[in-house]
Amino acid sequence: MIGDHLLTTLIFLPLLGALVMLFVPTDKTIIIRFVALGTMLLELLLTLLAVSSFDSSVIGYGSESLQLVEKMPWIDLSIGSFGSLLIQYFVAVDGLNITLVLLSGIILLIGVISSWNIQKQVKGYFILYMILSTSIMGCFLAIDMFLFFLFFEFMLLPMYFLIGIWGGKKRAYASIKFYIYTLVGSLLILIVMIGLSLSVVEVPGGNIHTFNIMKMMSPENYLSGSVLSLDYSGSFLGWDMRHLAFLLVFLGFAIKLPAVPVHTWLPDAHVEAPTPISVILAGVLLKIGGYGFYRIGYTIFPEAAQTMGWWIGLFGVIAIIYAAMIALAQSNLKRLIAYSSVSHMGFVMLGMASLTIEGNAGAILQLFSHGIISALLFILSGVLYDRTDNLRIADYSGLASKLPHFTVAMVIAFFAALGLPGFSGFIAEFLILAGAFDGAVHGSILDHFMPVLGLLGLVLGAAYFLWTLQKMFFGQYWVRDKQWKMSDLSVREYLMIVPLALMALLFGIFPGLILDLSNQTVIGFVEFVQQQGDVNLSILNK
Amino acid sequence: MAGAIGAFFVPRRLAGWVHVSFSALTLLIGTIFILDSPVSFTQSVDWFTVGDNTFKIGFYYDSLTAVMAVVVGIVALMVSVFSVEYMKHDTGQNRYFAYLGLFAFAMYGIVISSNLLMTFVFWELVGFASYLLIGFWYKQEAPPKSSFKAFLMNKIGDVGFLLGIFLAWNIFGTLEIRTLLDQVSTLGLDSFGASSFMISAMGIGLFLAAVGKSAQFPLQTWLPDAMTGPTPVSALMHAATMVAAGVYLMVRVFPLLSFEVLQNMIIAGGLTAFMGAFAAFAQTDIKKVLAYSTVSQLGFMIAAVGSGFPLAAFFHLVTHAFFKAGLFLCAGSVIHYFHESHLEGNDGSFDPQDIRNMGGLRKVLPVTFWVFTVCMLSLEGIPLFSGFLSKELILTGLLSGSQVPIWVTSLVFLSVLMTAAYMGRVYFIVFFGEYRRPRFNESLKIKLPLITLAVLSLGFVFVLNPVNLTSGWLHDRIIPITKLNGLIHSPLITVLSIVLATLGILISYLYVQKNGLNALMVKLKYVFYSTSMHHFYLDYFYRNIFSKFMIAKAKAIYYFDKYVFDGIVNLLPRLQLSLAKLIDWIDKNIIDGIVNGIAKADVVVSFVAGWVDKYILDGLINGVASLSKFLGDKARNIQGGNVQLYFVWALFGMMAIYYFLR
Repeated sequence: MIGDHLLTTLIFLPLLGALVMLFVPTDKTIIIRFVALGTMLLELLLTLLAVSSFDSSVIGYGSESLQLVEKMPWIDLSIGSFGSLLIQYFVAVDGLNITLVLLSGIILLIGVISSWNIQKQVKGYFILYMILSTSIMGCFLAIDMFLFFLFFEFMLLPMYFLIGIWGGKKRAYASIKFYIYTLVGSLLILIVMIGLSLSVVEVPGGNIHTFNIMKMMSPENYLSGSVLSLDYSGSFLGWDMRHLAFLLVFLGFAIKLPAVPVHTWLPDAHVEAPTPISVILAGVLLKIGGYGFYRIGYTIFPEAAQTMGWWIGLFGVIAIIYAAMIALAQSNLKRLIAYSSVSHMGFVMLGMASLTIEGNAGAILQLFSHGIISALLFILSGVLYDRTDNLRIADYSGLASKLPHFTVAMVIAFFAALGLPGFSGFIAEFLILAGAFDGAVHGSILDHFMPVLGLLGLVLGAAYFLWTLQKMFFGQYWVRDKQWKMSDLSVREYLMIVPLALMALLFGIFPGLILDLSNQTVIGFVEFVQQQGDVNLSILNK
Repeated sequence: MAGAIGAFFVPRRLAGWVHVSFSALTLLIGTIFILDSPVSFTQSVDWFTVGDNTFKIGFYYDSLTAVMAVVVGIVALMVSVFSVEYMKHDTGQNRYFAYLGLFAFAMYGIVISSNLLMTFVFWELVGFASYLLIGFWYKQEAPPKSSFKAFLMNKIGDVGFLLGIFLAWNIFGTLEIRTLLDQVSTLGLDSFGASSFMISAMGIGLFLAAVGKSAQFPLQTWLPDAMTGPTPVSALMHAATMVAAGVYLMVRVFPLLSFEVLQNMIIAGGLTAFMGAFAAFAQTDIKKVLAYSTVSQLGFMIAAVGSGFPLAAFFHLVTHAFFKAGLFLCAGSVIHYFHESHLEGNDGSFDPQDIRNMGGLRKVLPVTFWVFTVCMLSLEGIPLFSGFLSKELILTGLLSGSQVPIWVTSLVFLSVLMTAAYMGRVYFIVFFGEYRRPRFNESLKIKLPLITLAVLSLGFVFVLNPVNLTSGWLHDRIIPITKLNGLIHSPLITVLSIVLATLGILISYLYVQKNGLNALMVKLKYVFYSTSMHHFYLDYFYRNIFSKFMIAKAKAIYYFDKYVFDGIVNLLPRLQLSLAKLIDWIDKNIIDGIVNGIAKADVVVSFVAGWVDKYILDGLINGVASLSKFLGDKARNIQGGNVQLYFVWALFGMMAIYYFLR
């Protein structure tokens, strides 16, 4: 039974866990924790099952290459002369999301282990956590845009409470900022979604309006003269509607990614969020932004990938350099890591914009690899925070003498994050920059200076990470407050750190494990975006 | 099989002897392998696939690989043996040998690599191992700073390497070294449709890699600082192998380097050679002298590559690896001696690396003294020693190269003189003079590596004829692939280099012996001295100006982010809040005012109404009531009781009614 409904089980298993928790008495926190752990272990096993049943040799990109498809009509609304509105329960995987599903499975389990020492309102916490897990999985798996949007929106609610209740000192400010930012993003996407639903029909020439993303890929499915069709004549401030819609979608996901200059919610959210939520935020939630670029932005509006690719690449490079510079100036460890995330996400934009196979394969790998590595970084900063409630870099020195194992873990994490060969981040960044060079030399989308500046970002990355390492961990041991209990890693912390570090190493030495999953889809995707983009552009320009 | 050699070197957390035996085994396997397979060949396996491109891992074998692997193997083995003695009191031995293993693994990786991506991977790993080993004593202040600096400067070079790789990928469509070299040698560099700018940019990128790793101008300042690592490490990595990797890479990819790139290499190499030699004069730390000497010698090599004779550079790399490792291990032996003899009663103020604390060690450490002598003479380029052969080759190359600027050549020749002089200075200060102590028993673990390296610094190892290279075995092995076209060998150069070297030693001898150390300091004018001491203030510039500028810039951007971007974000709600407050105020004062006004008016009205009510209406009512009462009272009186009165009133009433009705 699960075989046929694997993805549905993946999505709703956490919800089932939450349901079970509802019946556990509030004071039996240990049972609640174990229910959460069991649910997520099972979830990880199911993602592994999904990965193993995924056939990575299926070529192409589009509805034919989707696998493990579950599709059924959900809401079928007839609205008089307008026709009818079809919303489907449509979930599937292909090379774009299979790696991210795997990543979610890993990170969500790590997140539960990291949540083990949450003491405040345990039941509420884990129920919200389970709801969050369901919406994350749903978001990655949905192929129907309405379903996607539903899960996308639904993530906000548990996140808001998880930061707002279990967060640090300025949690109220951070959670509201996060909420408003993301809500604005969602609204932009909602506008486009409404436009799309008005324009796209299930069968060419029919009047069953659909939210199926796969249908939105082909111009035949657009009603002639409808607002987002290629032959719509109207414009707004000189922009035709499709480019405008792409811009809105892009901005919506750029907030989530986040891209400069709409990144300012991230450092606050990270600093205030409890450690496991930071881990999920950096490890999985940001990736939805990148995934959205692919699944919604480029897939539905391929022509914009060509006309606006230069700008996307530019903003990617700006994010790389700008956020790295800011990270160099940080005095708080968690803020530094948060800005490094922004910098690393800039690489995703650069790779995507290059419209080359290397660049896009690198971007997908970067999403995965950064998920693992940033989760590791946030867990390590959480280790320190648990002991001292303080993450000011200047308050520590020479930690290596007192916390040797913690230091080793930190060295591994930092070097993985700065892209040392042997860790997954290196391959990702190498491919992205190679793709960007390719795009700049052979294509016309990017300029040469972009990958060169991206390279500079690597130097800056080494600078801020190693500087922090030198300041906090080496030299004479000194901490600001003698009362702090500096004990080395506990078993629970090892349980999180060792697997993550090993994975960063594993996927660095054998990047094929991830690259092969997405390779065929990426080839198909790049080909689709280039060809369909050309077709659409030629129609638009007429 | 050589790939397996590398795999042998997965770090093992075991004590030094395990490491030594693995080093020996590696060397043995490597040597057998080399003797077995005289031809060049490539072998590789797929690493990962992106699109239709498959990136590979493999090894590329030719005589260059063979010689380099043997050199690395010998020096690594010697250093491991030495380390067992040197590090015997250190608690972090396991860590130390694990790092050494990681380094050896990465270094072999570079040597055998069959493609540029793989080279880069190991290139960075070597940098990482170097980071770990420089900062080995992490509890002190200086080593972590030096290791940070070393990695960062290397990273700048590495980024150049990546740039070169990307451009090579774009121009040639492959990263396989063999394919690259074959294509370029058959078709020429210009036949790939790439602009000369692109080709030069690629070359500059690759050269930048060497600038970082081999400590060339302007990134050379990390190397002297790297001396904060354990001395055997300095011998292995920062003298013999790691820093030579840059030169090795340049020799490897030489056909890919365009003329403009070579010009830059000559200038950078010449400058580095001179600056390093100059800076070595005033150093008081024995390791720093050797470090600047290494910088200078690497400059020689790079200049040689630039002048078009990579073989000369590579030969010097090989000889330098042995004699410089020997010198460093001698320094290590001296430092070790001071450490050991000061274990009892060292008050901590004594610096065992400061040459001003040394003297007369000739009698105390005889083996060290003799090995130092041999290696030093080799470094100075005295005939019969290996350094003479290679240095002479470089000088010949510089003079034969058609496009070598004359000022660079002069700088290099001057550096030869200076090399002899600064080495002589150290030599005479450390080993001669007054400072007699009982003879120290040098452990076999120290003697063996020292003597081996000294033997390898002798000229006959490479060629029997002391002045003519062409009859040696090395010549037969290497020249077939890297031809020495156009090399004009003249006896003049031989004589000149001998004269310069002898002159240098003489100068230093005169200064040190006749006038003593202090006199030398005085004689060297202050500016000259401090320039030398501070290496032309290059590092001062980086530390105090460049990095401060960068940090200030980072802070500025951060504040920009905080107050502008985030400011806007925070401003929007604040604006909204102000707007809300405004509306609220309007609401309160105007709309509500009106409402309140109306209400107030209402109240006034009601008040008035109330008053009216109370006093007028009520008054009226009360008045009526009073009247009624009064009347009632009266009436009661009327009702008072007697019938006659009723009757009277009734009569009156009747009369009144009548009156009104009438």
